[in-house]
Amino acid sequence: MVAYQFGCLLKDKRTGLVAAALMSIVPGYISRSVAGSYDNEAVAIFALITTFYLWVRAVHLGTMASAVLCAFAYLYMGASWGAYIFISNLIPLYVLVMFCLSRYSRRLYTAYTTLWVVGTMLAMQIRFIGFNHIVSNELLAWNGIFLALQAYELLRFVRTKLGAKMFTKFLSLAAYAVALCGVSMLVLLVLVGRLNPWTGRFLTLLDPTYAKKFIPIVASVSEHQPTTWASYAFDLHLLVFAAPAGMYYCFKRLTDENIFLLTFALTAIYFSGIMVRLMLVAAPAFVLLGAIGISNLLHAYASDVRADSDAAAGDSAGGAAKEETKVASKRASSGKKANKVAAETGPLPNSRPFALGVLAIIFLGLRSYANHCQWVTSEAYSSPSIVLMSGSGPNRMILDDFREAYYWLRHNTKPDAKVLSWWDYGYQITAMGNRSVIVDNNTWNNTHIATVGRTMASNETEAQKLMHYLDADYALVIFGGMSGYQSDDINKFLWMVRISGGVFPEHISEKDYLAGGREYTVGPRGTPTMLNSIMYKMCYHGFGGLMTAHGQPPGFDRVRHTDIGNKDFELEHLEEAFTSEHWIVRIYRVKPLENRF
Amino acid sequence: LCVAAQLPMYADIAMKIVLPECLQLVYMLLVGTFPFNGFLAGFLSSLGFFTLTGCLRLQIDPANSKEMSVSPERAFADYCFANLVLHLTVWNYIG
Repeated sequence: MVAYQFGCLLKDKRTGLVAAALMSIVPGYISRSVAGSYDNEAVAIFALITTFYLWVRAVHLGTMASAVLCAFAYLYMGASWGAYIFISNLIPLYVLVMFCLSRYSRRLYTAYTTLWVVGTMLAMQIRFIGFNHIVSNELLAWNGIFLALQAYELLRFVRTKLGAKMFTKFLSLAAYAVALCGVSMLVLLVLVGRLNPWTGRFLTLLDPTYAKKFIPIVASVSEHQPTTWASYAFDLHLLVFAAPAGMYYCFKRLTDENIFLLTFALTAIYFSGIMVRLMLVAAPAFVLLGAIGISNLLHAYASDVRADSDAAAGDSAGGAAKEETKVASKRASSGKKANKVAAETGPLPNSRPFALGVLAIIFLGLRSYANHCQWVTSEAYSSPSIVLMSGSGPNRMILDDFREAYYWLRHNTKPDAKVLSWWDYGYQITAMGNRSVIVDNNTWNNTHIATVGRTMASNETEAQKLMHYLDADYALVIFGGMSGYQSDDINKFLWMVRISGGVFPEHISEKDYLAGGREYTVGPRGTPTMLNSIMYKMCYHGFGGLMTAHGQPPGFDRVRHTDIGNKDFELEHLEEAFTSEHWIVRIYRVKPLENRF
Repeated sequence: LCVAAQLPMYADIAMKIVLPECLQLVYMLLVGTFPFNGFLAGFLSSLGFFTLTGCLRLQIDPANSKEMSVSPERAFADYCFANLVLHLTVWNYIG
């Protein structure tokens, strides 16, 4: 609905309709909601678009009330997702762009200053944001532009009071004074430490390689990987092509609102190229641009069709009417405008078949877009990933190992047992197994996660000490070697090593786990550190004697496509408690320390 | 409603609020920033009031009428609304 209003504001009612239709099924947005439930980011994108719509409206109207509404939307955004920083940097950027394009107006001033005042106060109500709004470097643009706007208006005011000559002298003096003051204050604040530095999240967006070097735990999340072209096509489909068309139309007729959309889209495209997760933010921009493009194209060619049919009365009227109902059953109001346009520009001769062809192509495009979105939503974003399916038809096999294992935990362990596993499974274990976990999906404590990683990566003696330190009763690993399940712990193991190596560099070093310093393998060429780590041992315990594939030696790992290096070993301090049917989930009991005397 | 006569009045009000604003800033610098939220609430309320009054003056000024699209009455109503929101928030924030 907000997309409709936004589209209306940007161009006209027709664009609004197309925008709403495209928005409601774009996969990039639906990806955050699965089977009816939704993540906070789905709400946040709604808040984002609402804020942007209200902001564009505020600039358009220049009233204080609309800016206050925008501030409320900003508060909503701040309360739902950390990406409010995107808004508070995009809007000042837009002000700057408008300045550069000499489109500055008092409306802009009113809108921005009112927004700043009310928005800052409101945003600080949220405890998570708190004082960040004033003291954090990330919001420097937000505050800075406010001061800059005030200064500009002040200077204009002063200019009306003084004469022109005196004003230029005054101006140069004032400029120097302000610059000096500003820079020195900034330096002072940073030195004194009052200004909080840019957080890691922010820096990751500016420099895509930052996270990999400094914060491995952020880099290891699969949603934070750089986006591939395939993801773009997957999430946006037709819009990937319609968006550049929309950009062309925006440039053709620049208005204040269009400029905002362009700034938004360009920054969104840049950021979505860095992290897959930010496709979510880019999706609305694409939708709006695409809507502009599509509706303009449709309008242009439909008017061609209609103009031609007006010129050649009679037989073509039927054809045009059919086209109209096929393509735009909702476009009632465009008739008059089309006639006017036709009268002004005059259609090219013989353009009608061409126009019909283009309309048909666009229609096919929209149709396939709708199909694609339906398919994507049902296949990729709705299937529960806890019950795995392989094969189809009569060969369909259901692998229910996860639930089997978690329910085993629930029924066969002490109620206060604690489970050590990698954080991905924390929520699942807590919910289905009803047992406490050492780390789960929401653990912010990097050192804690690194300790768990270190435990997994150490040999048995070290690991036993760490597991007693962490007070774990059970250890759980996910193993795909027998079933072919790809996202198991051995594939994630290198991330565990990196994360723990970041915090405990003297104990864990990534090179020790790579054969020849470069190759990650569990086969006979694997390093001793790798083959002795309890992650390896827990995954491959008893696997050495198992025939998993035709024509391969026993102990062949079906995911890594290699037979394992260390086939015959016994565990000293761990005891196998449970292995699920297809060996996907393996649970081990931690044996108590031996009596010492 | 003689708008032109009110202009200097608004400018006057706006300037007059700068004084308590600066006083708050100086007080903070002297005494220290605890409790920070109290300082921010007070400071931003005066800053906000100054800004809003400035905006109102801009909107009412007949010399600006080709840039603005609102009538003076509407501008004043907006001004009241914005001030209401601002001060409610400030009141909540003083804590």
